[in-house]
Amino acid sequence: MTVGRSSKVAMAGQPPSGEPASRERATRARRTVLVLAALAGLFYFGFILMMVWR
Amino acid sequence: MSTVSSSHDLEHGHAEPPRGLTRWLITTNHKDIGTLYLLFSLTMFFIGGAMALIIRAELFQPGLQIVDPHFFNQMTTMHALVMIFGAVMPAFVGLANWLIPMMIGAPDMALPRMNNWSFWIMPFAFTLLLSTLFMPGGGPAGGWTLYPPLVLQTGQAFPFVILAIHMMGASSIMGAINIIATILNLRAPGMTLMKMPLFVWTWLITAYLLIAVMPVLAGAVTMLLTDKFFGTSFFNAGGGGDPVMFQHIFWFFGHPEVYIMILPAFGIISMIIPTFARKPLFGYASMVYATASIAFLSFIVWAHHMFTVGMPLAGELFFMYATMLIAVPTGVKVFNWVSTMWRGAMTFETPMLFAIAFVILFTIGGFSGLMLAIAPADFQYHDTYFVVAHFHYVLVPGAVFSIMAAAYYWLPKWTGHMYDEKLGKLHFWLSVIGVNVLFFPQHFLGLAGMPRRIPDYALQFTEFNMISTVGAFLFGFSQLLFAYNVIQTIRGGAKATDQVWEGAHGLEWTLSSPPPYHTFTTAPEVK
Ligand code: HEM
Ligand SMILES: [Cu+2]
Repeated sequence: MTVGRSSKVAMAGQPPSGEPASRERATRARRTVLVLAALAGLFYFGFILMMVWR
Repeated sequence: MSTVSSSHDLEHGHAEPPRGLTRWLITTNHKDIGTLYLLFSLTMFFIGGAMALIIRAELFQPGLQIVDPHFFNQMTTMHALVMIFGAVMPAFVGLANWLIPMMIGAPDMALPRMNNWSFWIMPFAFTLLLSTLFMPGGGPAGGWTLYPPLVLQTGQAFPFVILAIHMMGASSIMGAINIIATILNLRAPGMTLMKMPLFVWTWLITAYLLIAVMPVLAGAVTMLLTDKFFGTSFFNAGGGGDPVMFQHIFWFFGHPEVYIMILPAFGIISMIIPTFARKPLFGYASMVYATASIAFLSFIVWAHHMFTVGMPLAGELFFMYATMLIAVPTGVKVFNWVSTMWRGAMTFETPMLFAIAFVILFTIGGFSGLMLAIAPADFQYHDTYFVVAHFHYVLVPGAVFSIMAAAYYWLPKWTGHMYDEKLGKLHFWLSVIGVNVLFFPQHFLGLAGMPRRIPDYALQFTEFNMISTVGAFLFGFSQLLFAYNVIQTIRGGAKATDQVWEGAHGLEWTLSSPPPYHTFTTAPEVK
């Protein structure tokens, strides 16, 4: 295993932000977050609505 | 979102953290946030521990000596809430923050700013929760399970408790989303899913459990709130609702919740045992599948907490057999840990001692769980000290020991200093003796019929209660050694090497000890 280290700093998302690969990664991360947040919302309102409907 | 950080950051290279208090307030660094979570968790361990000692002191003798019953009930309720949501869960989130980016070769968590928010909600949530103890009518006293109608008798504290639970829930959900987004999107090239360290795998699965069930808890307490203040009757039979429905919803959250508190522990143990046995983990793939099976099964066993509430016979049987099924993947795990040690070149440093104690004592808790899963037998055991003994075996020498093992194991990496091994071993032996003296007699108390959550008891239970209380104080005060050892290690000590442990493998051990503030800004190649 080789470990490269660099003195440069990107906040999160290597290769350095701005490059296409990192932008694509950011898009994917954003999409993951939206899906998961929607899932959490579904569970929260889903259970309450289920009880209301009953 | 910070993943889209501007090239500004890059050019100016904010490599060093700001100094002083602001560093901790505004930090988006996964290592800083990990440290904050871990220190918060340690604080909560001691607060929750103090409550436990009040409980055990009152139970040293029959009769009422130290606190009045209402305060006693607040202590049992608060002890559980503080330990579950304030100590065990944040400890695992802290470990996830520190370790997951370093283990998968990522520069940080995927959402560093949300990460900051996830943490800083917690001190406010717990200040709010603990402040309810001083409100008119006192804090919540109906048990951490918050069953209505009893919980609706809480005084002015009630809406504050619910807000505090919502805040913890929001923090957990954001943390879970962050962890999944990190693991799925920020792995270094070559770090395929089936190459991930098991701690990362178990956390990935745990995070999905969190997203599935924390909103359910939030929904349940929201319904309690509207029942109390807005005239709804979700759980009020008088208005057409059903109090038992609350129990179903609560345990649909509650059972996966207990696995949220043990799956990351499984991950930690699966990292530590191979290191000190100097052998690769036996059955890596089966560990992953077992974790996933346990997570799946955890959704279909919830009513084993409700056998005595009344269910159709088919329901009792279904939940009995489904619960027993969990023993299969759990058994696979225990088998794999033992097989990893088999013919290994073992040494017994403190993390390994805690890991071995985990394997043995967690298994005892698993066995008492199986006894409780037998529906007809549970009619006798339910709501007795046998249940208390069961879940403390899986949670204290289970989850908590794994956290301590992890602290000793990774502390040299985090701080760059070795901890005091002699003191660590002393802490281990006092803890392992204390915890058994504390909880083993509770099995006998439960089998003899002593109910849980009572401040007074019949005379025949005296001896075992006395033994248990002695164990509690021994265990509780031994933890001061742990805190002392950790603080001393942070402040100084022998220099740790980069690999720290002879048998350690994985990306985090290729970094220096302590690792630089930012790591893997250029992704490592994993072969
Ligand atoms: C081997 C797998 C396990 C089985 C078969 C099992 C079974 C059970 C059963 C049947 C009960 C209900 C007892 C009653 O109220 O009458 C119970 C309670 C409980 N279990 Fe387990 N359990 C297992 C593992 C775990 C683990 C790993 C944890 C946590 C890390 C855990 C935590 C709890 C807690 C906290 C309670 C009590 C909840 C309450 O009423 O306050 N269990 N368990
Ligand atoms: Cu359960």
